[in-house]
Parts: sequence; C-alpha cells; structure tokens
Amino acid sequence: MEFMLLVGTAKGLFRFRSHDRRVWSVEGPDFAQTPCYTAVLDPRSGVLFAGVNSEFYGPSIRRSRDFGRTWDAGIVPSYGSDDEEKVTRIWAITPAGDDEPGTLYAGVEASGLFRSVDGGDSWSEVASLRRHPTHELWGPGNGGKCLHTVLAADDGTIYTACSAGGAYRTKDAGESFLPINAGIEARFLPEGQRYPEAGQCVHKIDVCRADPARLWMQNHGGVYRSDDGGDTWHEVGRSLPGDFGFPIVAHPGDPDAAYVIPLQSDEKRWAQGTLGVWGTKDAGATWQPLAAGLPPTSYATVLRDAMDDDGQDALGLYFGTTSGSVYASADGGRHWQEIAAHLPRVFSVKAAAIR
Amino acid sequence: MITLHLPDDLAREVGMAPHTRQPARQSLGELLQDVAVSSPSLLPRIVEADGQIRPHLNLFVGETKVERHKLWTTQLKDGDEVWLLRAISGG
Repeated sequence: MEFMLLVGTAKGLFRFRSHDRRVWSVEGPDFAQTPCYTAVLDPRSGVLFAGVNSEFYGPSIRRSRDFGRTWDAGIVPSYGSDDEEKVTRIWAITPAGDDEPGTLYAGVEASGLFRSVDGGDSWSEVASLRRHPTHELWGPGNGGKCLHTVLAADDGTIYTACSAGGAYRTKDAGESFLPINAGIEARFLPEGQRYPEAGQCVHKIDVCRADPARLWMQNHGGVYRSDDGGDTWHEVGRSLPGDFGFPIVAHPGDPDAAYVIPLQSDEKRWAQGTLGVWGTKDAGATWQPLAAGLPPTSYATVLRDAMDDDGQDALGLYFGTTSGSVYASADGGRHWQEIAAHLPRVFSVKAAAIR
Repeated sequence: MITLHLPDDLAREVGMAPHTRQPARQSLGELLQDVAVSSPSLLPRIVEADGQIRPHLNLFVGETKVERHKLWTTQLKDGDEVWLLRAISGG
C-alpha cells in the first residue's frame, strides 16, 4: 500500500507519497503560483481532483488521471449570467458513495453546491440549497462566503457547511435541504439572537464513517457533537484549552473519537503554548493533548481543511500550518514528525491510501 | 488577420500557443468565441458569467485598454493586435 498526501497551498499543490508513513517524497508544486484550496483522490476511480483558484483566470476544477503528473484544463463552474452571486473559488470536492460511481460534489464560494454525474466532465449547480429561504441569513466570514464542506455519508446523506451560513443536510440527493443548526451558538450576533435557524459561522464538520449519524463540528467558538445526524447538537469543547479553531476530524471507525487543534481565541489565533492536536475517546467528555514532536511555541494557524486522517486501523493523522509546515503521525497522534517546512501557507491536507 | 497574444501561463494551461493569428472578426467577444471553439477552456478564464472581462485581467487592442463591460462592443479590424495581460500583483 502507498499513501498520498495532497497539500494545497497558496502557491500550488504539493503531492507527498510514502510506503511506510514515515519517509515521504514530495512532488510539485502543480499549478505553480496559483492558490489550491483543495485536492482529493477519488478512491472509486483513482482520479485526482483539485480546486484551483486563480486570482486572474478564476476558479477551476482540474483532473489528473496519472496521480498528478499531468492535469487537464478543467472546468470553470459558474452561475447564470443574471445571478447576483458569482463563483469565485472552489473550496471542496467530494466523491459521492460507491453506488454513484460518477457522482461528485463541489462546494464553492459564493455559497453554492455543484454536482457532476459524469466523473467531472461537467458540473451543474444543486440550486435548491441557495434557494432555501434561510439563504438570506448567510453572510461572508473572513474566508469569504464559502461552502467549504461537503460530506457524503455512507447512508447517502449529504451534509454541507458554509461560513457563515451554517450546516445543512439533504437525504434526497439535493432535492431539498434542511438547516441543522439547532443549539449552535453564533457568538458574533447580539445577545438574545445567538441561536438562529441558519447563518452560523461553522468552521468545519465531519462525519464518522462507522456511524453516519455521529457528527462533529468546530464552530467559530465552540466544539459540538451530534448523535442524530445534526438534528441536535451538544457542546463538548469546554474542557479544551480553547474552543476556537478551524479543523475537526472524526475518527473513521470509533464514533466516540475525534480530533481538534485548539487556538486560544478569535482574537489570538494561535495555540496557547504547544501547537497541539487534542483528541477525545469518550465523545467529547474529556480531551487529551497529542503533541509529542510538535513545536513548543508556534504562532501558526491550522486552517479548516488542513487536517485529515488516512482511514487506517493504526490511524494516520496529518495537518499543515499557515507557516508552511506539514506534520504527520502514524499512530493516532501519539507521535508527530514534521515532514515538510517552509512551504507556502497551507490551505488543505487530504490523505489517501492507494492500493 | 488578427494577432492574439496570451500570457504564457494561460496559454500553457489551455493548450494554446501564446501568440496566434486569428481570422478577423467584428468584435473582440466574437474573436474570443471563435478561439474557444478549438480551446473551450479559454473563454471562461477570460470572461465571467455576466459577460464582463475578469477583474484582474487587462485586454488591449493595440494601445487601447478595453473596459470590462465592452468585450462585445469593442470593434476589431484586420491587422489588429490583441493583448491579454495579467494585472500586476505581489506575494
């Protein structure tokens, strides 16, 4: 088995490969000097997809059929000519389930969801999401009005998350969406108005592969867990050194395990002391630091898409920082090694196992 | 004929030569539409969905910079040189 890390940065995509998850080789950058917000290996087809966001030529979804040696010219998704919003960035690309082999979803800025049913040859908007009556509550966060997360759960449910729009769920392949933000606090709103139906600044959500009803959320302040597919949420981050952060990763096989990277606060977006991953194994009741091998002092941030797992039994965890380092652990976070330094600002880290 | 000059990175990305000669067309928009027949990924990289030139690109016909919203009304004549240039940037 070979492992691949796709590291999207402000100046292109770097591809890391390893047979043992300890010694890594690196290739790239692909799309040099162009921001790459996300890249993913479609495990069903072996095709790589990348969201490339040129400040000059606009956003495009690119494909590689040879693990990144070459890339196609890609598709530039867009809304209609009279739409009030424009597609300005690609934030997420997510393959659907095994029963829909040619279907992929893409989350874009501003605030839209696209779908391809032909393996990426063409993309069209899943318009029901932006037509939801609560869409008027959405606004841009610091990163833009971005639909940054699309999750395809094993039971066919699609979850989306937007900053600042909140989380939504569809169980009918995008025919209709339900906002799932009950109990999620929007601390940036006036007192008495902090629990709206939608409009929360969700930083990231993740779903447990073994239990599609178990969701985890890193909010703009607050870490949450849902046991019912997002119908209700429970705040579980009070014992962390900070409940502000960006990424969250659900353990693929253990519904009670998850990982976050706490920052001090909205006002101090760096770790208090060691830049550390914190993990829970009891559904968020307690959290333990997983920092062996990580720097004792760091002012770096880990952005929302810059942490991932590789799905293996001995879980590999990976994250990249805004200061250009990439860290890897082959033992569920107990030990870390820096596998790259001095890269451009890291936007995304996606891990994949190639069989 | 009209000569179209593209930035090297864009030409590479869409699989075109950076400098090409194209049959004369009445407007700049029509010229790009023609080119897009053989290189379909070119047009959306230059023109947004609303028909305007992308904000960080500059199109010149000879010495005249084309305003963003005048892609389809900018007239061309045989022998024109069309330059597509990226905006200057840092970082």
